[in-house]
Order: sequence, then structure tokens, then C-alpha cells
Amino acid sequence: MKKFNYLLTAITIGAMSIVGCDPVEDINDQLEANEAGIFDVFDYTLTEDDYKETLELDYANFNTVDDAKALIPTVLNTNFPVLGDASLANVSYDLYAPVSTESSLIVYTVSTADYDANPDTAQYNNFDDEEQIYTFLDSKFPNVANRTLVSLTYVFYNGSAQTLNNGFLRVNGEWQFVLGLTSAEYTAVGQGFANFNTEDEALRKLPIFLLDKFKYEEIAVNTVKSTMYKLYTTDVDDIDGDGSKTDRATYSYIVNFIYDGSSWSEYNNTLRMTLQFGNDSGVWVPDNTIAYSFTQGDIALVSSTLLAKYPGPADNVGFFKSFDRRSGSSNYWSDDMMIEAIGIVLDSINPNAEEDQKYAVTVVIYNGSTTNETFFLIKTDGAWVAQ
Amino acid sequence: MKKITSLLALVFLLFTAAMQAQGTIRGTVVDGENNTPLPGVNVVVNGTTNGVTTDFDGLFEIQVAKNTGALRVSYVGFAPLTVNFDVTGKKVVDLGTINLKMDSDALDEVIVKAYSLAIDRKTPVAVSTIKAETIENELGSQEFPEILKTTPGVYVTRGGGGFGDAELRIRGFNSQNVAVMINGIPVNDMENGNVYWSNWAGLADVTSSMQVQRGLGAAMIGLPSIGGTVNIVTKSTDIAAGGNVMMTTGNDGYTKYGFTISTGLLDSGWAATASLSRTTGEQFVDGTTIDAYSYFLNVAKKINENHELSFTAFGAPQRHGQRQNRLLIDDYRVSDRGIRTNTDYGYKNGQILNHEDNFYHKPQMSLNHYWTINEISSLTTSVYASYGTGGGGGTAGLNKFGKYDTNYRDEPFAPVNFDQIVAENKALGAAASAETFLRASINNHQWYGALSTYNTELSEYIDLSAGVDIRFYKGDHSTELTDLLGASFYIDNNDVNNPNKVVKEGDTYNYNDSGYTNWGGLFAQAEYNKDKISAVLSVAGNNTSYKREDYFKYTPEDPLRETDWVNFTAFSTKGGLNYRLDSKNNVFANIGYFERAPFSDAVFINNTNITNENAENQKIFSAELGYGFRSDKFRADLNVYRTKWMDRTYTISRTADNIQYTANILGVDALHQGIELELSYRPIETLTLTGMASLGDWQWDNDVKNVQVFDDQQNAIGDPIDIFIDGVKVGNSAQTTFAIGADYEVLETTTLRASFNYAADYFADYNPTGRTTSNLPQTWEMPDYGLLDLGLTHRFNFGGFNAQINANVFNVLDTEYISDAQDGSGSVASTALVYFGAGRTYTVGAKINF
Repeated sequence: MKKFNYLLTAITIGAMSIVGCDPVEDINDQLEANEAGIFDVFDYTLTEDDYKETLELDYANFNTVDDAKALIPTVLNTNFPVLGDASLANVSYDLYAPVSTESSLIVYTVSTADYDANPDTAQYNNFDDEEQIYTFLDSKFPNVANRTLVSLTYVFYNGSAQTLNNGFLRVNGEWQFVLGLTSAEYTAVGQGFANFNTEDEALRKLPIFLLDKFKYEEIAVNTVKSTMYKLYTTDVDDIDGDGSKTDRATYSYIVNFIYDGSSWSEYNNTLRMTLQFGNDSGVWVPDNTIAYSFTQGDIALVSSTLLAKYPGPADNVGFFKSFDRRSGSSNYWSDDMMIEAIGIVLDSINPNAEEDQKYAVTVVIYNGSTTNETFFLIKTDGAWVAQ
Repeated sequence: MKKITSLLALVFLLFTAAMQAQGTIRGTVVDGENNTPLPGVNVVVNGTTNGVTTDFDGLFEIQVAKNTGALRVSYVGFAPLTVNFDVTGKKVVDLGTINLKMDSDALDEVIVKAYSLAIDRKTPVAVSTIKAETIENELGSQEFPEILKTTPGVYVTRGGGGFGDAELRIRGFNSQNVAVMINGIPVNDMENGNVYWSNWAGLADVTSSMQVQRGLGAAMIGLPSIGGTVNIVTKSTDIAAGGNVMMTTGNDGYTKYGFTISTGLLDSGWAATASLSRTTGEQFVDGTTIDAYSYFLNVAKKINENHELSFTAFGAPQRHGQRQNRLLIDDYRVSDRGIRTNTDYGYKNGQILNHEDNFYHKPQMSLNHYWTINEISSLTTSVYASYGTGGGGGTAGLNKFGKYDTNYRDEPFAPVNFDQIVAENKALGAAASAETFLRASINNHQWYGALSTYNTELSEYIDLSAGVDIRFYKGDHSTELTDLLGASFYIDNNDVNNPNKVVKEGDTYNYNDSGYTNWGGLFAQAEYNKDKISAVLSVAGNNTSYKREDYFKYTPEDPLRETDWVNFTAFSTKGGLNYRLDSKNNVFANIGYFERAPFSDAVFINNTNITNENAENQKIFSAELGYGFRSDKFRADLNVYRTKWMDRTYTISRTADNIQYTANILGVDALHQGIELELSYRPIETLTLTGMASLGDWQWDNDVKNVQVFDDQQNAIGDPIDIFIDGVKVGNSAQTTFAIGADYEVLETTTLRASFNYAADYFADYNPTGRTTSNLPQTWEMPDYGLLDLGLTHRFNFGGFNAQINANVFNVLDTEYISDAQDGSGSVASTALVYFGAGRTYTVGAKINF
């Protein structure tokens, strides 16, 4: 009798050890791992703390775009630890892109002798071709130190002869053109002489001057223009070569301006850039994904385009405005059919999308109840495919 | 308490002390099959109220007032036995061992035949029999068909988890393809084949035997027994005088109380049994409220040796909250309510409101006549009637019931805030049609039938049976507006005879039609029994006629308003042979082919009066081999089967120029084959071990190519479709199941039970005709699971009455498992819509027999 008590106990324990696990546990774990978590689509601009504290950089900018791509995820992880998969961050950061300014100055007016030295310019005593200027500079100033600015006054023939004053900055053995103002332009910006009185005045008036000067040109955002302005100031460097360092002389200075799409401002050697990052299963990666939701028009387009190919499903989605995603249904939209349908819409709304452009497209589906489903596509070899 | 006990004892003593003792009779009652003692058996002196019950060793001792007479020995599920006694000149007579015969073996032969019960070692079908005692002790708050879960080939699910929403599937075939008979009368819905177990709540209290015949079954009449047949036999004249009162309580406020009382067979030839019960509370799933009664009445009269009449009426008026919408696994994971989550109920004015509910009452009445014509012939006739009234509740108008819709729920999956919906309806103004409201799909019906079987012995070895089976069914289908949710009316335009109809609560709207189903069947069966051989051959033919009448879609003048009868003639034939090798071993084989008319929805597609004249009969071919072993301690049954189901009814529709065209999809075939094993071992008298294993291989059999829809001019509409289902597993039922169980009498008064059920190879449900692209994966396979149930039965003497306590704990380990799934996109876990089975639940019940 006792024997059977043991047997029964053994059977019970045996049965319990077999079933003492949760059959759905693995699925739940997987679902938890894949949990969309908290997600957001947001704009963010890196702060000085992000550069210097979080990333321990010396300067509040990145040297290269690759640095930005590599380091910004750290900032996002630090600042937004709870954000998970499907989050999209549009991040603004500063990229260090230095534009040289002068470290020494030569003020020079091209003389008749200079023009005569070149057979091309000897006849009219002016330049009529930019190459002629650089030929002149190379021969006149063959061995100037790096970052030497030549503030050059010369006559240029372009329909009529004009006296110009522009800068030429020697950078790594090359001359870089720096835009200067003509006397007429100084007059136009309200100066009595061909110079500014103070640096502040130059910095205030030059952006207005640039807007006016290029008002008929299409200037791209983040375009940097080097300008040269003149100040009548104490000749501490004896720039006029008269031996006195206490008299006054006209100095030239370079200042760079950057265009933000509507106005010019002084360029501080950093470009404001933006990069989109997407959160892929908890990891932030640079991402060009565009989020898009189907409109009624998109559904009508899909329904009509695919009616011949998938008569049942296409008719059904046109009527119910939702994609039937029950695999057992006769109007079932398989994953492949969904990608095909979304591709039709993307080709319609963004026919010139670049290669590797990604989309996250949300559509209304029916899987027993009406809900949303998001599909991720990428343009590959000119066609929209699932990511 | 003690006072009451004493009082009861006193009352009891008064009954017994009134006798004048002449002598004492002793005996031991045992189960004739395995010689184990039967406790609680009624032993009554014929023609008196003088009776006792056996003790736990099957012993009884009764004092008799006369020298000679007869004892009637009876026990639920066993054939009553009359034993003569003679105590003349003796004080004590020992009758020795009295064998009671169990199961259908022992049931009246007429009953066995009339109710199509299978007889052990004789009828060549695979069968498992559940005794009344098992149901009484082990069912608890489970759904009635769940008592079959430990038998092979059976998968029972509670569906959404509402009271009576269970579904029984056998050998991978859903309930439409499992025939259910109560006292020999088929009860599957005439229009759609479904079985609604909530209609039969309470039947468990009065069931004397329940048989599940897998495969072809033993029935002579035409039945949809593609998966099998469940035969339920209620108590009748076999029950002894007396009765019981019972009370059961369980988890989530489940409460059931009731009584059964029976006169036994009186000298006048009358016998009556009545049973009444009430069930309230909730099921495991949130919001699945129960409000149910059940009643049963049997009045029988043995007119003379040759005639017996028996009238039975039973029913179960009930209303229960349902869960109709499956959720994603992730939804349950996220929801505060976990696997109990139900998004189909809410609160209105502080009261629970189930917007998905079911309310129904289907009294079933039958009058049976058993006529023993002569030594060799008998005629049994049942005339029956059943009236169903009720339907299922749901929502209508603008859908504000989305599971994630936090405008109407405090958070996703929380109960619906009906007050908000009421406020929005009211805000529209008194002159506005309701925006969102509740409705019920009403499905009333009237069913009349007659079933008559004539049996005769053609020769010493050959019996012949033949009969008729006639059924008339009318189903009335409509939508009733049940709750305007604060609005005053709703404007409906679905009735062509009543445009812009103003609908108020209780009014019919949306659709209103009747379906008529008539059935006429003839059947005949020959049985051969000689020595070691039993053979049977049956043929049946039946005609199913459908007609549809639509009161809303057509005007009274419209000839389409009422269709012509559409007829389907189906034949079936089956045969089998059982060979008893010796007293322990037997083998059997059966083979059959039968046809089945398509359901009415395949004839009147999309509920219109345009008949699909081309609907085809479904065809089923089935063959089976079996082996049985019986000894005192050990019994085993092993069988293999192969069922091929051809031309399963499917249709597809295509729309062109706003006209819908339909095609039948022929050639959708399924092949179900498998092995089933059932064991029982009783190493010692107090311990019974049982086991079951069922290995199925159920697959769709072939791809179907180029199904084309044509218009009435035979122009092709749309492209032809292909259906890729070759080798795809059949879903909706676990293909592998096994169970082990132990029943151990720890003390003379106390029995402990443990049972472990395991299910595997269970694929999500899907529509095979939706697989119109090639290379789709198998549908999602649910995780395997095992469930442990424990039970205890304790018998004791309560003031002179036999009483017992039954305690059952189901899913003891609180295993979280998926009981039903609908395949989703990509056939993966994350997209499947599922129901979880119940977690740990319990019931404790007490029953006092008198």
C-alpha cells in the first residue's frame, strides 16, 4: 500500500516537473524583447554639455560628419535612455569647417609697370581675365608666408574698366579670392571714404551688403563667403612702409559670412548640420527614413492599380479602406502584396527618391479588428523593397 | 449543527423503525467488469420504501419484513438487478457477491439499439464511455464536453471562455462534423451543424452514460459523424427511488445548486425523475457572467410487458457574458488583466454590461415508445419537438469598441465606458438617429422530428433493423435592437417594405428571414452475431431540402421573396466486423462512405434568395482497424483510422459591375489519419491508472487550381484563383494528445484523483481557400502544453444520509497556455489572434443523497 503512495507521489511530481513551465513564456519573452517600447519622433540640437561632458570633446563641434554619425548615438542614449525602437531623432549639430583668415597683410596697388610686365595686360593697363591676376600675384609675391592677405587694388575690364579692391589670401600655396568692396560700394553702404570706421560697423553693414550684392543669385544654405573690408586705423605694422608706426593707414581684414537661407551672419568656423537617427531595436543609427501614412487617395490608387492583378483583395481594400491581413481570408494581403502596393504609392508621391531612401509607411489594416501596421521599405536598384 | 444532525437521524430512524423485521439479508455488490466493490449502491425491497445503500466495501445489510421477495439493486450507470430472496427459517441470509453490469452493455437492449450505443467487444467502432460517476465527481465547473478530454482524438476548448461556449472537436474535425445525440435524437443545428453546449447545461446532472464513438460510429441514421459521435443518455426508469441535493461553489463566484428526485419504478409502472439547478457567478475570463437555470423531467410508464412510454423534457434558459474577440498574445501580456482580459464588456450606470452576450432557451421534448412486438421483434419510436428562442448580442452603428480606443476605455483593453457612449448619443439631440447602439442576432427555431426503428431477428444469428428519420426545421433569423444607449430611435433602411424605418428597442431591423430545412431519411441495418463474430452492415439515404424566405430584401409581390425547395440527396453505407479471438482479445474493422448535404449558407450565398444550384454534397470515406484487450486488471484499446473528406464546401465570390458572382470550390480534400490508444490498469483494488495517447496526421490533401468565377452568360469574372493547400496541416485541433491519470482510494472514504493532459502539434485556425499564393508557410503552431488537474472525493455519513464532497482543482500549476488561435500575417506568434485557456480554477461541491 505504501508503495503505491510513493508511486502516486512520484507520478504527481513527475507530471508537475513536465508541466512546471510556462508554454507561452518564450513567446512572451520574445514579445517583450521586441517591444516597441517608448518611442518618439523629435528634433534635438546638441548642447555644449553634450560635446564637452557627454562626449568629452574639447570643442563644442565635430570635426567631420563621420564623427557626428559615430558620436551622436552616445548623446541620444545618454539623454533619452527610455526611447526605443522606431524612434526618430532629427539632430542638429555643429561641424568644424574652418575658413582661413589673414595672419599678415600686404596692401598693394597694381602699377603700370606691373601691367606692362605681362604682354597680355601691357596694352590697356588693366586685367580682363582672372588668370592674369593670379599670374601677376605669383610673379609679384612668389614667396609670401601662409595666410598672407594681399589687399589688391587693380583695374579690371569687363565691358568697362573698373577699379577694384579685392583680397587674395595665400593658403597652402594657393591664392584664394576674398571679396572686397569698391569705392562705389563703400559709398553705397553709407561710408564717406572707401573704408569702415570700426569693425562693428563692418560687421553690421556687410551682411546687408552681401544680401544686396547677391540678391539675384541663388545662394545655398550654409554657403560661406569670405569678404575683405578696410579700416582706416593706426599703422602699427607700418603697412604703408613710411617708417612710422603711429600714423594712420588703411588696413584690410578678412571676415567670413555664412548664409542661412535668408540672411548672412559672421561665420565662426562651424556649420550647423542636421542628421536623422533612427532607433533600430534600441540602437541609434543614422537613418534617412521618411515616415508616411497612407491617405484615402493612396488607397484608391492601390485599389485601382491592382484591381486586375488582385481582384478580390484590391476590391476589398477599396471598399473597406483597410488591408485585410488575415491569412485565411480570400482577400488576404500578403507581405509581398503589401510591399508592392506601398511601392506604387511611393513611386507616386516621391518618384525621384534617391537610391537607399527609406520609408516607414503606416497603413490601416484589418486582422480581426481594425488597427495600424507599419511597413519599412528601401529603394534598391530603383525599386521599393522591404527593408 | 449537532441538533440538525440528530433531527435528521431521528427522521431517518422513524422511516426505518416502522418495519417489522423478519430476517436480515447481506451481500456484496461489485462492478461486474472488474469485481471491484461498488459503494453507495441502492438496495431496496421491491414494492416498499425499505432500502439501504452499500458501504465503501460494497457491503450491505438489510432487514426485511417478509420471508420472500425481491431486492432491487441499482446504481447510476449500471443496469438495475432484481435478486430474489427467501429468509424463511433463517435469520441471516448471505446473498454473496452481486455483479452489476456497467455501461451500455447493461443498459436495456432496446435502449442501446434506439440510442445507437456501441457495445464493448461487439460493435466494431472505436469508443470511449464515460460513467455517470465520473461526470458527477470530476466535471466541477468545467464545460460538459470537457469530461471527454482524457479520451483519445478529442480536443475540447472553451472558446472565448463564456458559460457553455465550449467546442468539441474530434480527430481534427470541428463541432459541425461531430454528431451529438441525446437519447438517440440528433441535436446538431439543422442549418449550420453547430452544437451549442449552453443549450444543454444541467444535462450533466442527469446523464447516466456518455459515449464518444470516434469515426463512423454506431448510429443507423444519417449523421454528420465525420469526426465522431457523442451519445448522451439521460437517466430514466433505470434510476432508483430517491434523490439528492447538491451545492457547488468555485472560483470567480461560481455557484450552482440543485436537486434531483426520482420515484424509481413504482409498482404501478410509473417512474418519474425531476432535476432542477441554478448556476450563477462568473467564469475565469473577465465579464463572463452566468445566469442559468436547467430543468429535466422524465416521466415513464411501463404499460405492460410489451409497451413502455417515456416522456422527457429538458432545457436550460440562460444568459451569459461572452468573449468574442480574440486578442494578440502581446495584448494579453500588456493588459493588466493578463489572460483573463476580455474587451467585450463594459459598465453602464455602474452595472456590468456585456455587449457580446448570449441568451437562449431551447426546451427539448420527446416522447418515446418502446414496443416489444413479440419474441423477436420490437419497434421504438421517438417523436420530439424543440423550440429555440434567443440569440447573441453585439454592437451596431459607429464602432466605439476598439480594444485600444482610449476614448471609450480608461486604458487599452479596459472595460468599455458605456456612459460616455450614452452621453455622445444624447449630445446628438433628441431628433438624431442613434450613433452607436446594441443589437442582438436572433436565431429562433422550431424543430419537429420523428424517429422510428423496427428491429427483428431474421434468424438465430441475424438481426435486421430498419427505420425512418423525419425532421422539420424552421429557423427565424433577424436583428433586434436591444439598447439604444441613450438615443431615442435608430433609422434603418434595410427593409424594402419599410424605408426609413424608425427602430426602437425590441424592434426588428437589418435583416429578417426564415430558413426551412426538411429532412427525410430511411435506414436499414443487418447484424450478424455468432460465436466469435459480430458483423454489421448499414445503409442509409436521406434527402435534405432547403428553402429561404426573406421579409426585408424583397417585397411581398417579388417572386424572389420565397425560394423553391433545393434538394440534396445523400447516401451512406458502412460495415464492420468484430472478431473475439478469446475472452480477452478482440479485433475489429470498419469501413464506410457517406455523403453530406452542404449547409444552407452554401446554398443561399450571402443570405440572398439566389440559390447556388450547383452546391455539391461533401463526401467522406473512412476506414478503421481496432484491437481490444480485457482482463481483470488491465484493459487496452488500440485503433488506427483513415478518414478522407472530399469536396468540402467552400465558395468564392467576385464582384463585377456591382453584381456579386459566386463559384463553388470543388476538390478541397482533407486526409485525417492517426493512431489512438487507451489504457486502464488497476494494479490493486484501490488504485486505477489510466492513459491515453492519440497521434494524428491531419492534412489538406491537394492544391486546387484554376477556380474561375463566371457570370450568368458564362463570362469569366476576374482571374482564376489557385489554392495552395497540399500538405498543409489542418488547424484548430491538437494533432497529438496524451493523458495519464490516477484514481486512488487513500482511505475507505476518500479518493484522490490526478490527471495530466498534454496537447501538441496544434496549428492555428485558418481558411484554407485563403491560401491563394504558393509557398506560404505552415500556419502558426501553438506552444505545446500540459495541464494537471487534481480532485478529491470524500464520502461520509451525514445524519444518516450518504453525503459526499467533491473538490476539483483544474490547471493546478496555473499554466498559461493558448487554447485557440487564428492565424495571422506571416503565420507567426506575434500576429496570431488567440484565446488563452483558463488558469487555475477550482470547485468544491457537496451532495447529499436521500
